[in-house]
Amino acid sequence: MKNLDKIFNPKSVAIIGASAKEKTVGFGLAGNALLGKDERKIYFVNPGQGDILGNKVFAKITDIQEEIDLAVVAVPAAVVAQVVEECCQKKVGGIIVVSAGFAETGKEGKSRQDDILEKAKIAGIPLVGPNCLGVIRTNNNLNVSFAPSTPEKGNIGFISQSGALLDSVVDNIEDLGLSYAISYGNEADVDLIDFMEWLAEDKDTKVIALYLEAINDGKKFMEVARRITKIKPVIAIKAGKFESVKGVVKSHTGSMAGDYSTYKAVFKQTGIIEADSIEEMFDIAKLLAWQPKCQNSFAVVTNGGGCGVLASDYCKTQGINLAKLSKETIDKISGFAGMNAFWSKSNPVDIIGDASPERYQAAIEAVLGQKNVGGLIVIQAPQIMTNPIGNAKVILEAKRMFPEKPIICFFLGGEKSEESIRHLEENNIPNYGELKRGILAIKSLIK
Amino acid sequence: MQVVDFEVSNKLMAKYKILTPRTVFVKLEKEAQKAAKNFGFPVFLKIYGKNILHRTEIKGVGEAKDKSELGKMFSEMMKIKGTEGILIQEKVQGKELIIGMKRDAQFGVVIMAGIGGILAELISDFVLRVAPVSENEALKMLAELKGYPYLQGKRDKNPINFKEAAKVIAALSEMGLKEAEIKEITLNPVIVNEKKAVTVDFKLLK
Repeated sequence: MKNLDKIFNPKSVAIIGASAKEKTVGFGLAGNALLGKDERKIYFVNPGQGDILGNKVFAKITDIQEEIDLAVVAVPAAVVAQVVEECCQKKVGGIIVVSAGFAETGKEGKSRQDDILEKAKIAGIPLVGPNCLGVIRTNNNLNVSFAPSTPEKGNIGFISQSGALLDSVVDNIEDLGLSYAISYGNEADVDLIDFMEWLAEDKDTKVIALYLEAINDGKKFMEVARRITKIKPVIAIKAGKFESVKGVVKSHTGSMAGDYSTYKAVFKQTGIIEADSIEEMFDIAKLLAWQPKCQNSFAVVTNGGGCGVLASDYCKTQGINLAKLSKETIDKISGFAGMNAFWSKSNPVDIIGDASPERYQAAIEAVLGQKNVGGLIVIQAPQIMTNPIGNAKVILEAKRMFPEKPIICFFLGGEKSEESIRHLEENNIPNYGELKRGILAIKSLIK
Repeated sequence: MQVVDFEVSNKLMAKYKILTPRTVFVKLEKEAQKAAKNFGFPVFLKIYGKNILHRTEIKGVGEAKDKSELGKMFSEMMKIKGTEGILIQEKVQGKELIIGMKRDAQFGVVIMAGIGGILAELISDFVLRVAPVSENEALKMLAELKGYPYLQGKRDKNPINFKEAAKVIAALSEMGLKEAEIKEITLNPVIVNEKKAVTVDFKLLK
C-alpha cells in the first residue's frame, strides 16, 4: 500500500502554474488551496506572475526555502517533465499532475507520461494523475483541485476516473457531503486501487463510491475489492457498457475497457454494489453512510393510503419484505387515544390523512418495538393537517430509542416539507422525495 | 483465432472429465452405418472441417432415424464445402445448457453458463464469473439464471442434475486456467438430465 499521507495530509502545498487570471485552472487551484490556509502553508509558483490573490509568487519550487509536502502541477504538458524534475530536487512528499496531454492523447503523450513517471519513481515520490482534476479532503479543508466548489464534510468517499463528472457531483452534493473527492485521471503511478485502500482505512469514510470507465489491473482490483467490501460498502457505476462506446472510453482515459458483462460478474463476486446512475449511487451511499444494515423485514407508516400501496408495490418488486404486525402491535396502535379508528390495522400502517405528530409517534414506536421489524419506512404526504416539523422531531426521537433499526423517510411534496427534511438529514436520517428511488436504495441495506 | 483440432479437443475434454456423447469420426458411409448400429438409432450427423465454425446455417447437422435416412444424409453432407468427414453421435436427451470460457484482457479467465441450444443467442439468459469457479460457485451461477425454475423442472417434473452440470462448469474453469493456449471454449449444448451432463457439441479456439 502506498503512503499517501503527504498528499492527503500536507503541512505545505505548492501550486505550480497558479494564476491570477480568473476562469483558469491555475486560478481555480489557487483559490481552492487557500481555503485550507489556516491548516497549512500555501505557496504559489509561476515564473510570469506578480502576485496571486495577494500572495507572493515564486518563479520555481526550488526557490521556496521551506519544505514542501505536496506539489500540484498545472503547467502545459511540454514543461511538466521539467517541473516534476524540480519537484524531485525539492524532495516534495507527493506530486499531483493536473495537466492533460499524456497517455490519453496517444503515443507521444504516453512517452511523456512514462518520462515523468520514471522521474517520480526514482525519487520515490507518489504521483497522482496526470490528466486529473485533483483531490479534495473535507475534514482538513484540503482542496487541491480546480473543482468549481467544495463539498460539505460528509462520510462518502468518491473516487472518479472522470474529472468533469467529479465537478458535477461536487457541485450538486449539497447537504449530503463527502469525506473525499478524488479524480485519478490516467493513474500513471497512484492508481484507483491505492485510493480505495486509503479510503478503506480512513475513519471519516463510511462508504466508498466509484465512477469507473476501465480498470487497469483486473486481478488486483478483485483481490483488493474483496477485502475492502468486508470493511465498508463500495458502490460503483461503470460507464462505457457497450461495444460501440469502447472507443470513446479509450480516447478518454487511455485504457481499454473490458466487456461490461464481465464487470457485472466482477462486482458481484467482490461484493461491490452496482448502481445504474449517479443519482442511484448517491441514493444508496447516503443510506449506507447514515443508517445501520438490518434484516429483511420492514414496517411502513404512512398518512396516505395511496402512497402506502405504491410503496408496497416497489418493495415487492425489489424483494423487500414487509413484516406482519403482531396482535400486540395492533393493540398498541389502536389503544392510542388519538388514533383514527379507520387506521389500516396492517402493514403498511396507514394512520390516515389527519395524522398528528403524536399519532405518528404512537405508530412508529409500536412497530419499532415489534421484535421482528428490522427497519422503518416513514411516508408523509403534505396534507392540510400535516405538521412536518413535528413529525421530523418524532422520527429523531424514535431513532434515539431504536438506534440499531434503520429509519428511511419519504417526506413527499415540495416546499411544505423542506425545513423538516433539512432537519432530518442534518441528523443523518435519509429522506427521499420519490418512493421508487428510495426503495431501490433500501435493497442495499438488507444484511 | 483458429478452431482446435477435433482430436486435440477431444483429448482435452477427456482430460478434464467432461463427458461427451459417444462419437465416431467417419469418412465412409460403411463406417457410419456400423457406428449407428452400435449406438442404436436415432443418431446425429455433424459435418467436420477445420474452417467450419457454424454448422447449422449450412445444413451441416442432422438426425437420422434409420439406416436409409443415414445413407441419404451422409452423401448430402459430404458434398458441403469444406467438409472433411462426418461425426456420427449417439443422441442424449435432457435440458440444454451453454457453458463457455473466454479470456478477458483485464480479468483473465471468464466462465459463462446459460440456457443453451439453438435459442441461446436469442434469449441470452446467462451468468458470468471470473475464474476460479468452484463447483459450489457454479451451483450459484445456475441458480441465478432466469431459466432456473425450468432447470428445476418446476413444470415438467424433470429436474436436471445440478451437481453434474456444476462439475462441467468447474472443469471448464480449471481448463481455462491451466491450458493457456486455448483462448475460447463453447460447450453448446450440454445436455443435462437427472443422471448426467453430456457435452454434445463443443468448440475450442486457440
